[in-house]
Amino acid sequence: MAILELEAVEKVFPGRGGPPTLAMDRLSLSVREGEFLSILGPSGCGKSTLLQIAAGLMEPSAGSVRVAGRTVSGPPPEAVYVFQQYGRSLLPWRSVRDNVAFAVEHRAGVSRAKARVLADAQLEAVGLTGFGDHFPWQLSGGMQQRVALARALAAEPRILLMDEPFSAVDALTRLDLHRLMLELWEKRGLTVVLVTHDVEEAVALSDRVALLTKRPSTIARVVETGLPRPRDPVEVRETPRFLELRHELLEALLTRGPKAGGHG
Amino acid sequence: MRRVSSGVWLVLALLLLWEVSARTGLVDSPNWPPLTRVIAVLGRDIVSGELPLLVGSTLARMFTGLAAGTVAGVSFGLLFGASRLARLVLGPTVELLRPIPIPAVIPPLVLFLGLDNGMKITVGAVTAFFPVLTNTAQGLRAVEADQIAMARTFGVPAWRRLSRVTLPAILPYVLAGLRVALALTLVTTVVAEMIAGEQGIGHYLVLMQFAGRAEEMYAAVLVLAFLGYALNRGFVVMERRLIGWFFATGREG
Repeated sequence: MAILELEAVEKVFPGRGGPPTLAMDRLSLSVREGEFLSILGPSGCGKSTLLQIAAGLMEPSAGSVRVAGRTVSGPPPEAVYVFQQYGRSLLPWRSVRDNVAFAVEHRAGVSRAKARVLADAQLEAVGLTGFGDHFPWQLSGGMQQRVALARALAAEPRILLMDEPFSAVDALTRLDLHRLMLELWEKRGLTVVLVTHDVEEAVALSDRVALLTKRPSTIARVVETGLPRPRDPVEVRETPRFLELRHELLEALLTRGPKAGGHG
Repeated sequence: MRRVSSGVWLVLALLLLWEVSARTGLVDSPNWPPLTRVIAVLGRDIVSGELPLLVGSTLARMFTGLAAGTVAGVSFGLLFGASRLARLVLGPTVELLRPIPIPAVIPPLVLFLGLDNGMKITVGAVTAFFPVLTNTAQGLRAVEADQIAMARTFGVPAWRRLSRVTLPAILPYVLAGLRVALALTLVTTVVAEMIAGEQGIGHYLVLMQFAGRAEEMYAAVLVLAFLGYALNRGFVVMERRLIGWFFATGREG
C-alpha cells in the first residue's frame, strides 16, 4: 500500500523580471510502504524540489501530496528530510550527541536527559559510539553524514526522504554509507526515497528507480530493479541484472538529460 | 611571541620617555608631570577609594546603557530581518540617524533628560543600538536556510526554531556588534560625563584639568586607557568561550 502519494503535482517558480518557470508538470508518484525507491535524474531537473514538496517543506503550486493517507500541508511527522549538505544542516554549536537529540528534545515527555540517551542509541546504530562529545566540525564528511542520519533516525520516521545524501563524500566512504543505509533500512522497516544523479547508487540500493525528465520535470518511467534482498550494495554491482539496468538507465539519462548541469 | 614583546618594549620606552622628558626639563611645564608622580597619585587615589568609586559609577551607567541598547538593537535587528515592511519603513530613518556623531545629540538630550543618569544612560543606549542592530540583521542573512528547514522537518515549533537555531546562529554576529558597541559606549558615556553633570570619571577628568591638577588628570587618563583595554580583553575571552565553534569552523573569515 502507498505511504507517500504525489498526485499531479505542479511547481511554478515566479520569474525574476521574466516569465514564471514551470519546474514540475503534473508529476504523479506512488511510494509503497517499506520500499527503497530512488529518484534518478540529471542535474537541474528539480529532484530536490520534488523531495522538498514531498517533505512538506515547499508547497506545490497545484496537485496534492499525501503521507499515510493524509494530505500534507506542512512537514508530516511520518517523514524526515535528510539534507545533501550535511555540514550545513548540523548545528555547529551543539555536540554530536546534542545534534542528534535535537530531533526529539522538543517533544512532549522527552526530557533533555532522555533525548541524550536516545541520541546515544542512534549514534551506536550508525557506528559513531564514543563520538557524542565531539563537535560536528571535528568529524570527517562521512562521519558528519552519519550524524545527520542518526538524527533523522532518532525521530523514528516511517519515511526517510534523502536528498543526494552521499554525493559530497569520497567513493569509498559512499560505499560504506550505502551498506549502512541498507542495513538500517532492513532492520527498521523504513521507507526510503532517495534522490540521486548516480545511476549505480540508485540501482544498487533500490527496489524501484523513478526516472525524472528534464524541466519541466515529470516521471518518465519507473523501473523495478528486481535485484534480490537482502543485498550487498557492493557485490550486487557484479550481477548481470545490475549491469543491464545500469546500461538501460544511463542510456535513458543521456538521451533525456540536458547537456549542461545546474543545481539538483 | 617576539613581535608581542617588541611591542611591549615600545610601550615601556614611551613611558620612559615621558618620565625622562618631564624630569630633565625637556618638556618644562607644570602640565607635564613625571610618570612616577602620576602613578603615585594614581595609587593614592585608588587606595583612598576615590577612583574606584568614580570608575564604578561610570561603568554602571555604561553597562546599563549598553544593555538597553543591545536589547533594543537585537529586537529591531530581528524585526528588520523578519519583515520586509519594517525594512522599507524604518530602514531610511535608521540610515539617516546612524551617521550622526553621538556627542552631537548630547546637548539636545540634556534639554529633555537633564544632566544626570537618565541622559547618560540614554547616550550609551543610543550608541550601542546601531552597531548591534546592523550586525544582528547581517547575522540573520547568514543563517543557513538548511538549519531552519532541518528544524521544520523534525516538527520543531516556530518559537523553538527561533530560540534554538536562529538565535545561536546569529550570536557571533551580535557579539561582533556588541564588541564595537562596548568600545563606543565607553567613549560616549565618558564624553557625556565630561559635557554635563557632576558624575563619573569623565567629569573628574575635566574638573582636574580646570583645577590645574595635572597628576590627577593624567591618573584619570591612565585609568580610562586601562579600562578600555581591559573591557576589550575581557570581551574577547568571553567571546571565545561562547562561540568557540564559530572560530573553529573558520566562519569569521
